[in-house]
Amino acid sequence: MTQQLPPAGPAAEPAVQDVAPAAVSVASQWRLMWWRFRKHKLALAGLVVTATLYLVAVFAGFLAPYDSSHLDPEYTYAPPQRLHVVDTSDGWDWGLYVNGYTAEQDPETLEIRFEVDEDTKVPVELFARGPSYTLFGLIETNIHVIGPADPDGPPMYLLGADRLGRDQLSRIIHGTRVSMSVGLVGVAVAFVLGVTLGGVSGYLGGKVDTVIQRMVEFFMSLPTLPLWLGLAAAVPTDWGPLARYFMITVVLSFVAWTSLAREVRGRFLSLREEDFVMAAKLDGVGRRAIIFSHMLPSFTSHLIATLTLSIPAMILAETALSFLGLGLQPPVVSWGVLLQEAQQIRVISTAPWLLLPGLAVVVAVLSLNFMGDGLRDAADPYRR
Amino acid sequence: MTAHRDDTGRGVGVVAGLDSPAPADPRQVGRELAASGTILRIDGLRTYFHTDESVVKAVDGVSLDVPRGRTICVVGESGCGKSITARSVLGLVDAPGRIEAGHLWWHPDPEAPAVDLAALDPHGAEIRQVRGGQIGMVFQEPMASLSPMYSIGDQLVQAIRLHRPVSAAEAKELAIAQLARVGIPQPERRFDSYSFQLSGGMCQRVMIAIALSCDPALLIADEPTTALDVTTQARILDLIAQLQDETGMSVMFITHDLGVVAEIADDVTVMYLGTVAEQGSVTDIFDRPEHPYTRALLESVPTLGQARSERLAAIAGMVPSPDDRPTGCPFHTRCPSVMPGLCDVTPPAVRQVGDRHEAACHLHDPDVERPPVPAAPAPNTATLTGAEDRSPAVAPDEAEPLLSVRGLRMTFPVKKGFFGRTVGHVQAVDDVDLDIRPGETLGLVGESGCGKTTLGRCIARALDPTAGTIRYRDPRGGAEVDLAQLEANQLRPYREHIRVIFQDPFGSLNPRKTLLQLIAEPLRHIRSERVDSSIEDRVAAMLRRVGLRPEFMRRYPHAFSGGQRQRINIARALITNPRLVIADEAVSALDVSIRAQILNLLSDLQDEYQLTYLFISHDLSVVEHICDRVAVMYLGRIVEQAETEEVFQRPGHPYTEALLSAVPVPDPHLRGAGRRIRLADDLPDPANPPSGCPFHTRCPHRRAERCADERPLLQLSPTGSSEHLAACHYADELSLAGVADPLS
Repeated sequence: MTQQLPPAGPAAEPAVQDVAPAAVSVASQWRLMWWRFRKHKLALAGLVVTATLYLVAVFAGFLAPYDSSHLDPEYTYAPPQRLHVVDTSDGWDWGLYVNGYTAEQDPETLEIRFEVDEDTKVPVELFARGPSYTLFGLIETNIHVIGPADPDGPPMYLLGADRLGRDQLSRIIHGTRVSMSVGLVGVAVAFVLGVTLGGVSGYLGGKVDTVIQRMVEFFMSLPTLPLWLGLAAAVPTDWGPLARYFMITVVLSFVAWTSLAREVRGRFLSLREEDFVMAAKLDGVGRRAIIFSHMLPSFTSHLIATLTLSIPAMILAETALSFLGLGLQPPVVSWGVLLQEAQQIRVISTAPWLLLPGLAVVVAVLSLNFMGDGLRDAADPYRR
Repeated sequence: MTAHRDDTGRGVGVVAGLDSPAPADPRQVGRELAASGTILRIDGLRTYFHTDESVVKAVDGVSLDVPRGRTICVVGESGCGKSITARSVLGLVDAPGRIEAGHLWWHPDPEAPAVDLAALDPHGAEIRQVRGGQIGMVFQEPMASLSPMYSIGDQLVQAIRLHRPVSAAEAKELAIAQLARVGIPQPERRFDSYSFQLSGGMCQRVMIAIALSCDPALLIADEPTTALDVTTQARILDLIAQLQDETGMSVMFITHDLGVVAEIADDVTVMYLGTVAEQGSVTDIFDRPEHPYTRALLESVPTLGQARSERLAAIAGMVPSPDDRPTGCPFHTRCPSVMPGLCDVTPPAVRQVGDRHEAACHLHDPDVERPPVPAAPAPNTATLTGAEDRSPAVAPDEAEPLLSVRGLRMTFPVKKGFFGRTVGHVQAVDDVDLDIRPGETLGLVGESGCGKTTLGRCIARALDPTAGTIRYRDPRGGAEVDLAQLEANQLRPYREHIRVIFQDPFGSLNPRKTLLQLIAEPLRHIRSERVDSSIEDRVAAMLRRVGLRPEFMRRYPHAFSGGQRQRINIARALITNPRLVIADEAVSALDVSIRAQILNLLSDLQDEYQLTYLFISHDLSVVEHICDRVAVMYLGRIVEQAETEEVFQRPGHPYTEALLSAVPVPDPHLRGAGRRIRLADDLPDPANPPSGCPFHTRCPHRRAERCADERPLLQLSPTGSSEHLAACHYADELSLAGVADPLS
C-alpha cells in the first residue's frame, strides 16, 4: 500500500491553475496511521511487548528449558533460583550456573523446605540439549535456548517449581501459546459474526435491523459468567484437549460479537447518509460494491483497532474460565490453567511464584490495551 | 521550516504605529484613544500556533482601530486570520496557539486608562469581566453555540447573573425583556424553549440577546449570518443595526461576504494571510480600492444586476497555507501586478493612501518605480474560450425540452414511537412541473428547507419520487423515457446522461480512494469498462481540463483544498460526457475568489461539452450570473419560473420580491435604496403546510379573500414575456420591485 511519489513534473501547463506549486508528498492511509501511531510512546511499547509475546508463543519449545509435562517429584515447590553469569566463588570467571538446593524436612509439619545451596553448582549452558520437541510442528530438535548442561542432572527452576516439581518458567512459556491464541481465534470468530450481522443490520435497516438488534440486546443482557458455565458444561468431557479448546473459543466469541455488531451497525448507518455513498450510487456502483469497496474500507483501520482492544477481553475470559476449572483442562497448559494451582491461600503463602502466570496475563492485557488505544487514535482519519 | 524567517524585517513595515517604543503607558494610550474616538486598538497583534512540525502564524502583525459607536467589518477569505484576531481579543485562543506580541488596548471608558487585554491572564477574573460583560460575542453556528441541555432562558439568566448582581427573579425579567428586544415573539413562552426547538434565525437572535445582556460596549460578531438564509440574514443585520442605534455600542463584524460589508460597515479592514492588506472607510474600500487583493475580491463577486455574459475576474490560485507563507508580500503569489525582485522579497509597508485609508502594497511606495503596465486585473482564465455571449445554442422557444417534469411529488413519512408508526407526511416536493431545455442553465432558488435539493435528487433518481413523471429525451437521439418509472437496472444507461455535483467538497469524495479510482468509477460501473491505460488517459485529460495536474491521479482527496476538490467533483461528473448536470449548491462552500474560478470553469465546460445545467443555489447573485432561466421554490412548490432577467427585474411573486430585496448588494451607495421587505423568520412546518397559498403566512401583500383558502396555480404572469409563470392570485394587480438596475 505504499504510494509512489509522482515525478515532480516540469512546469505545469498553462491551462492548469489552482495548483499549489509546492509538491505535496503522498502517503497512503496506512503510512499516515503508522506516523501517528509512532508518536504514541506507550502504544509503541505495547506493540513491542505484544510482538515479543507472540514470538515467545511461536518459539515456545525452543525458549522453554523443559516441556510442559516434565515433572520431578523430588522438587515440589522448589523456589526460584538465581542465574549466575559470573562465577566468583573461585576468583573471577565467566560461567553460567545456578546453585543447587538442599532439601530439609520440617520434623513437625513434614513440610519440605528448600534452601539454596551456595556450594553446589548446577552448570547451565546456552543452546543446551534437552527434551525433544518439534519447531513449527515440522523440525524435530532438542536444542533449547537455555538449560542445564546435563539433562539428567539436577534440574534448573528459574521461576520455581509447582506442586509436582514442574518448571514454572517452562509452563508459563508454553501457556503463552494457548493464552495468546485463544484470543485470536475467538476474536476472529466474533469478528466475522459481528461485521456480518452488524453490516447487514445497518445497511438494510427496517425489520432485519430490528430482529438483529433485539438479538444483540438479548445476548448482552445475559450474565456472562453463567452463560459461559452453561456452554462449557455442554462441551462433552470426553473430548480431547484440542476440541475442547476450540469449543471454548467459540463459546467466548458468542458473547463477544455483540458489541462489535453494534459498532459496525452504527458506522453503516452514518456512512449511508454520506455524500460520497450517494455519489457512488449515482456512479452506478452496485449495492455490494458500495458496502465492500466504499463503506467498509472507510473504517477498516478503526475495526483493526477495535479488534486489538477485544483480544485482551478474550484472554481475560479464558483465564477466568480456566481458573474456575471450566475452561481448558490439564494437560493443556494456559495461564488460566496454571493459575488453578494458586487457588489456595496456603499454597500462595508458601510458594508465591505460582502467581507469576497472573503477572503474564497483566502484562499481555496491558500491552494489548495500550496498543489498541494507540491504534484507535491513529486510525481516526479526521484527527491531526 | 518557515518559522525562522526574517521576523524583524517584516515587523518594521507592517505594524503601523510601532515606532513608538514598546512599554506604553496605559494612561497615555487611554488619552490617545479617547482623542481619536477609538474603543479598541489592536496594535501589532501576532498570534502563533506552535505545532510539532512548525509555527503557524495565523495572525502576523495586525493593527486596526475599532471606532467608538461604529461598525468595522473585517473581510478576507477563509484562512486569513479573521476569526483568530477576534478570538485573541477575548483571550479565547486555544492551545497550542498564543499571543506572541502586540497590544490589545481596550478602552470602554473615555476617562479611565486603557487596558491591555493581551497582557491579562486568559483564564483570570479580569478578562472574564471584560469577556461577556464589556465585549459580547456572537458566533457563526447559532445552533452549536447554544447548549441543548438548558433552555434559552436559563442560558440568558446565567449570562446576566454572571455579570450583574441581581436576583434570579429579576434576572428572569431582564431576560424576557432582552428576548423581546431582539425581536423574539412571545418571549415569556420562548423563555422555556430549547435551542433545538427554534430555527437558526431565532437561535441567532438568542445568541445576540445573550451577547448584549450586559450592555457591552463592543459586539464582536464572527460570521453571524453565514449559516442563515438570505431572508433571515437580512433581518439579523437589521436587528444588529437597530440595537447599535439604541445602545451606541461598537460592532466588529467578521465576514467574507462583501455584500454584507457594503450593507452595514462604516469602516472596513481587508485581511490577507494574517496581515492587514488595506483598511479604510467603506466608501474608500468600494470606490477606491488601492490594494490589488481588495480590487480582485471586489471583481470576483457577482453582483445583482450585472450583465450575465461577463466573466468573473477570478483571483489566480488560492490562499497559501499559513504555515507555508510566501516571503515578501503575502499576496505576491496571486497578485496580478506583482513586481519580481521586490514583492517576493520585501514585505510592503503600510502606507497612507488617503484620509484614514491605508494599504500595504509596494505600488504605493514612492521609491518604487511602478511597472509600465498598470495593475490590470488579469483575466487569467478568459483566454480559454473568450468572453463571447453564452446564449444557448438552441433557440429556447422551439427546442423540445431535454427533461420535462410533471406533477412530481416526493413524500417522506414522519414516523414516531416504538413501532415506527407513520403519523404524518412531509411533502418535500409537492406537485412540481418543470421543463429543462437543452443547452440552458436553469437556476433553482429558495430558502433552505424548500425542497430544492430533494427535487434535484429526484431528477437524478438518487431518490425514488412518490408520484409524477420525469420525461427525458436524449438530444443525441433516443426515445423518450420516463425516468421516474425505471428500475435500478434500466436506469443504469441514464446515469451517465445525468450527473450530479455535490455541495460539500469534503463529504462527497471517498477519502479512501485515489482520484483515478474516483473519477474512473462511473466509467467502470456504468459502462463496465475495464481499468486500463485508456481510462487513465481519459482521466488525465479530464483532470487537465478542470485545471488539475494529471500527476495528481494517484493521490487521495485529503491532499486537496476545497476548490480543488470541487474540480475533482466536476471531473467525476463530466467523465461520462453527460447531457444534464445537476449542480447542487456546487459553489456555496467555497471562498469568493475560488467560487469565481469554479463558476468560470463551469461556464467554459458548458460551451465545450454542450451541457445543460440545473443549478441549485440559495445565492441569488450567483444564480443571476450563471442562469438563463430561474425557478423559485417555496415549501416544495415552484412559485415562479421565468427567464433570469424577468425574474430579477420584474418578479411576479411576492416571495421572489422578498428574496431579491434581502440580498445584500456589494455597493455601499445603494444601501437602503431598494424597498426593504423583511419576511418573518420561520418557514412553516412542511409536515403541516398552510392552507391556500403556502406563502400567505409570511406574505406582505396578503389579502383577506382567497389567499388563505384557495391554492394559486402557476399561471402566465401579465408582467412580461409569455414565458413568465407565477403562482399568485394577484400577480397582475401587484407591482413588485425587482433589482435596481445599477446603470439606470
